[in-house]
Amino acid sequence: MNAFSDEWEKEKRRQSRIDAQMAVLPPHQAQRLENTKHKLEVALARVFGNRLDARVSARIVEGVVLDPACLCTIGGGVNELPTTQIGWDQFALDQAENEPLAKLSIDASDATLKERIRQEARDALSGPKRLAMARAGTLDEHLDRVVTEQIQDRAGV
Amino acid sequence: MNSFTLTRADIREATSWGYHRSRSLIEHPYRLDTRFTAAGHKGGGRTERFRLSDVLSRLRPHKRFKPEMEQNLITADADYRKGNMT
Repeated sequence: MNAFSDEWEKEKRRQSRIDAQMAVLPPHQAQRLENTKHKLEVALARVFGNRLDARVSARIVEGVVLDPACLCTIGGGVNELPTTQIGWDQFALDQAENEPLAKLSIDASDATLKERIRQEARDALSGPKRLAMARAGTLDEHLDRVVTEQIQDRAGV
Repeated sequence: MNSFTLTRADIREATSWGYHRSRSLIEHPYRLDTRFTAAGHKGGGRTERFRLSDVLSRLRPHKRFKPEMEQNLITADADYRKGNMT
Protein backbone atom coordinates (compact mmCIF):
# COMPACT_ATOMS: atom_id res chain seq x y z
CA MET A 1 0.00 0.00 0.00
CA ASN A 2 2.81 2.37 0.95
CA ALA A 3 4.81 1.60 -2.17
CA PHE A 4 1.70 2.14 -4.24
CA SER A 5 1.00 5.57 -2.73
CA ASP A 6 4.67 6.54 -3.25
CA GLU A 7 4.36 5.62 -6.92
CA TRP A 8 1.08 7.47 -7.12
CA GLU A 9 2.62 10.61 -5.57
CA LYS A 10 5.60 10.38 -7.92
CA GLU A 11 3.28 10.07 -10.90
CA LYS A 12 1.21 13.06 -9.77
CA ARG A 13 4.36 15.16 -9.34
CA ARG A 14 5.57 14.19 -12.81
CA GLN A 15 2.25 15.14 -14.38
CA SER A 16 2.12 18.47 -12.56
CA ARG A 17 5.67 19.26 -13.71
CA ILE A 18 4.65 18.55 -17.30
CA ASP A 19 1.49 20.66 -16.93
CA ALA A 20 3.43 23.53 -15.35
CA GLN A 21 5.97 23.43 -18.15
CA MET A 22 3.32 23.39 -20.88
CA ALA A 23 1.38 26.22 -19.24
CA VAL A 24 4.25 28.68 -19.44
CA LEU A 25 5.82 27.61 -22.72
CA PRO A 26 5.91 30.50 -25.24
CA PRO A 27 4.15 29.74 -28.57
CA HIS A 28 7.33 29.59 -30.68
CA GLN A 29 8.86 27.12 -28.23
CA ALA A 30 5.64 25.10 -28.20
CA GLN A 31 5.96 24.78 -31.97
CA ARG A 32 9.56 23.53 -31.65
CA LEU A 33 8.43 21.12 -28.95
CA GLU A 34 5.75 19.71 -31.26
CA ASN A 35 8.40 19.07 -33.93
CA THR A 36 10.62 17.35 -31.37
CA LYS A 37 7.74 15.22 -30.13
CA HIS A 38 6.87 14.19 -33.67
CA LYS A 39 10.48 13.14 -34.39
CA LEU A 40 10.65 11.18 -31.14
CA GLU A 41 7.36 9.45 -31.87
CA VAL A 42 8.60 8.39 -35.30
CA ALA A 43 11.91 7.21 -33.83
CA LEU A 44 10.10 5.16 -31.15
CA ALA A 45 7.91 3.55 -33.82
CA ARG A 46 10.99 2.82 -35.95
CA VAL A 47 12.98 1.27 -33.10
CA PHE A 48 10.27 -0.66 -31.25
CA GLY A 49 7.38 -1.01 -33.71
CA ASN A 50 4.36 -2.58 -32.06
CA ARG A 51 6.47 -4.09 -29.27
CA LEU A 52 5.96 -0.86 -27.35
CA ASP A 53 2.43 -0.16 -26.20
CA ALA A 54 0.91 3.00 -27.72
CA ARG A 55 0.10 4.39 -24.26
CA VAL A 56 3.68 3.92 -23.06
CA SER A 57 4.97 5.51 -26.25
CA ALA A 58 2.64 8.50 -25.71
CA ARG A 59 3.89 8.77 -22.13
CA ILE A 60 7.52 8.90 -23.24
CA VAL A 61 6.70 11.50 -25.89
CA GLU A 62 4.78 13.63 -23.40
CA GLY A 63 7.63 13.48 -20.85
CA VAL A 64 10.27 14.71 -23.28
CA VAL A 65 9.40 18.29 -22.26
CA LEU A 66 11.18 17.60 -18.95
CA ASP A 67 14.38 16.46 -20.64
CA PRO A 68 17.14 19.10 -20.18
CA ALA A 69 18.54 18.53 -23.69
CA CYS A 70 15.09 19.13 -25.17
CA LEU A 71 14.54 22.24 -23.04
CA CYS A 72 17.93 23.57 -24.08
CA THR A 73 17.14 23.06 -27.76
CA ILE A 74 13.62 24.44 -27.82
CA GLY A 75 14.70 27.35 -25.62
CA GLY A 76 17.09 28.52 -28.32
CA GLY A 77 20.34 27.25 -26.77
CA VAL A 78 22.76 24.83 -28.41
CA ASN A 79 20.96 22.09 -30.32
CA GLU A 80 21.56 19.08 -28.10
CA LEU A 81 19.00 16.88 -29.85
CA PRO A 82 20.13 14.44 -32.54
CA THR A 83 20.25 15.55 -36.16
CA THR A 84 20.47 12.15 -37.85
CA GLN A 85 18.18 9.14 -37.99
CA ILE A 86 20.67 6.98 -36.09
CA GLY A 87 20.96 9.68 -33.45
CA TRP A 88 17.18 9.84 -33.04
CA ASP A 89 17.01 6.05 -32.74
CA GLN A 90 19.60 6.16 -29.97
CA PHE A 91 17.76 9.03 -28.27
CA ALA A 92 14.50 7.02 -28.42
CA LEU A 93 16.31 4.00 -26.92
CA ASP A 94 17.68 6.14 -24.09
CA GLN A 95 14.27 7.62 -23.37
CA ALA A 96 12.69 4.15 -23.31
CA GLU A 97 15.42 2.87 -20.98
CA ASN A 98 14.59 5.63 -18.51
CA GLU A 99 10.92 4.66 -18.54
CA PRO A 100 10.22 1.56 -16.39
CA LEU A 101 6.86 0.96 -18.09
CA ALA A 102 8.57 0.70 -21.48
CA LYS A 103 10.67 -2.26 -20.35
CA LEU A 104 7.59 -4.00 -18.96
CA SER A 105 5.67 -3.37 -22.18
CA ILE A 106 8.47 -4.71 -24.40
CA ASP A 107 9.01 -7.78 -22.19
CA ALA A 108 5.27 -8.52 -22.20
CA SER A 109 5.08 -8.22 -26.00
CA ASP A 110 8.09 -10.50 -26.40
CA ALA A 111 6.71 -13.09 -23.97
CA THR A 112 3.30 -13.14 -25.73
CA LEU A 113 4.94 -13.50 -29.14
CA LYS A 114 7.20 -16.34 -27.98
CA GLU A 115 4.28 -18.19 -26.44
CA ARG A 116 2.25 -17.85 -29.66
CA ILE A 117 5.11 -19.14 -31.86
CA ARG A 118 5.70 -22.01 -29.46
CA GLN A 119 2.03 -22.98 -29.52
CA GLU A 120 1.92 -22.84 -33.34
CA ALA A 121 5.04 -25.02 -33.60
CA ARG A 122 3.53 -27.53 -31.18
CA ASP A 123 0.25 -27.64 -33.16
CA ALA A 124 2.19 -28.11 -36.42
CA LEU A 125 3.58 -31.44 -35.17
CA SER A 126 1.43 -34.49 -35.71
CA GLY A 127 0.17 -36.33 -32.61
CA PRO A 128 2.38 -39.44 -32.78
CA LYS A 129 5.47 -37.41 -33.66
CA ARG A 130 4.84 -35.00 -30.78
CA LEU A 131 4.38 -37.97 -28.44
CA ALA A 132 7.57 -39.61 -29.67
CA MET A 133 9.56 -36.40 -29.22
CA ALA A 134 8.10 -35.86 -25.77
CA ARG A 135 9.09 -39.42 -24.77
CA ALA A 136 12.58 -38.91 -26.14
CA GLY A 137 12.82 -35.59 -24.24
CA THR A 138 13.54 -33.56 -27.39
CA LEU A 139 10.20 -31.73 -27.72
CA ASP A 140 11.15 -28.70 -25.62
CA GLU A 141 14.50 -28.41 -27.35
CA HIS A 142 12.77 -28.50 -30.77
CA LEU A 143 10.20 -25.87 -29.76
CA ASP A 144 12.91 -23.59 -28.33
CA ARG A 145 14.86 -23.88 -31.58
CA VAL A 146 11.78 -22.98 -33.67
CA VAL A 147 11.05 -19.95 -31.43
CA THR A 148 14.66 -18.73 -31.70
CA GLU A 149 14.69 -19.16 -35.50
CA GLN A 150 11.40 -17.34 -35.99
CA ILE A 151 12.39 -14.46 -33.68
CA GLN A 152 15.66 -14.11 -35.61
CA ASP A 153 13.79 -14.22 -38.93
CA ARG A 154 11.44 -11.45 -37.77
CA ALA A 155 14.38 -9.32 -36.65
CA GLY A 156 16.10 -9.94 -40.00
CA VAL A 157 19.20 -11.49 -38.39
CA MET B 1 21.25 12.04 -17.34
CA ASN B 2 21.34 14.10 -14.16
CA SER B 3 18.64 16.73 -14.46
CA PHE B 4 19.40 18.51 -11.16
CA THR B 5 21.81 21.13 -12.38
CA LEU B 6 21.10 24.65 -11.20
CA THR B 7 22.25 26.08 -7.89
CA ARG B 8 20.69 29.06 -6.15
CA ALA B 9 23.75 31.05 -7.18
CA ASP B 10 23.18 30.08 -10.83
CA ILE B 11 19.59 31.28 -10.61
CA ARG B 12 20.62 34.56 -9.01
CA GLU B 13 23.39 35.11 -11.52
CA ALA B 14 21.16 34.29 -14.50
CA THR B 15 18.39 36.60 -13.37
CA SER B 16 20.39 39.31 -11.53
CA TRP B 17 17.72 39.12 -8.84
CA GLY B 18 18.46 39.46 -5.19
CA TYR B 19 18.55 36.76 -2.56
CA HIS B 20 15.04 37.31 -1.25
CA ARG B 21 13.22 37.30 -4.58
CA SER B 22 14.98 34.17 -5.82
CA ARG B 23 14.41 32.44 -2.49
CA SER B 24 10.70 33.36 -2.52
CA LEU B 25 10.31 31.96 -6.01
CA ILE B 26 12.10 28.73 -5.10
CA GLU B 27 10.22 28.20 -1.85
CA HIS B 28 6.68 29.33 -2.74
CA PRO B 29 3.96 28.18 -3.25
CA TYR B 30 5.85 24.94 -2.54
CA ARG B 31 9.54 24.16 -2.43
CA LEU B 32 11.02 22.98 -5.73
CA ASP B 33 12.46 19.46 -5.86
CA THR B 34 16.13 19.47 -5.01
CA ARG B 35 19.16 17.19 -4.80
CA PHE B 36 22.44 17.70 -3.06
CA THR B 37 25.69 16.82 -4.79
CA ALA B 38 27.70 14.27 -2.79
CA ALA B 39 30.21 15.59 -0.31
CA GLY B 40 33.86 15.38 -1.33
CA HIS B 41 36.45 13.39 0.62
CA LYS B 42 37.32 16.53 2.56
CA GLY B 43 33.69 17.18 3.36
CA GLY B 44 31.59 20.05 2.13
CA GLY B 45 30.40 20.22 -1.45
CA ARG B 46 26.79 19.57 -0.53
CA THR B 47 25.48 22.01 -3.09
CA GLU B 48 21.74 22.18 -3.51
CA ARG B 49 20.66 21.82 -7.16
CA PHE B 50 17.35 22.32 -8.95
CA ARG B 51 15.98 21.09 -12.26
CA LEU B 52 15.95 23.45 -15.24
CA SER B 53 12.37 22.46 -16.11
CA ASP B 54 11.14 23.28 -12.59
CA VAL B 55 13.02 26.55 -12.44
CA LEU B 56 11.77 27.70 -15.85
CA SER B 57 8.16 26.87 -15.10
CA ARG B 58 8.41 28.70 -11.76
CA LEU B 59 10.25 31.79 -13.03
CA ARG B 60 8.59 32.36 -16.42
CA PRO B 61 5.27 33.71 -15.11
CA HIS B 62 7.09 36.37 -13.04
CA LYS B 63 6.51 39.87 -14.38
CA ARG B 64 10.22 40.74 -14.34
CA PHE B 65 11.35 37.59 -16.10
CA LYS B 66 13.05 38.29 -19.45
CA PRO B 67 14.00 35.98 -22.36
CA GLU B 68 17.71 36.58 -21.82
CA MET B 69 17.36 35.23 -18.29
CA GLU B 70 16.02 32.02 -19.81
CA GLN B 71 19.07 31.82 -22.06
CA ASN B 72 21.36 32.32 -19.06
CA LEU B 73 19.63 29.53 -17.16
CA ILE B 74 19.84 27.20 -20.15
CA THR B 75 23.53 27.98 -20.53
CA ALA B 76 24.22 27.34 -16.84
CA ASP B 77 22.35 24.03 -17.06
CA ALA B 78 24.23 22.94 -20.20
CA ASP B 79 27.58 23.94 -18.67
CA TYR B 80 26.97 21.82 -15.60
CA ARG B 81 25.81 18.79 -17.60
CA LYS B 82 28.77 18.99 -19.98
CA GLY B 83 31.17 19.35 -17.07
CA ASN B 84 29.63 16.32 -15.41
CA MET B 85 29.70 14.09 -18.48
CA THR B 86 33.50 13.98 -18.67
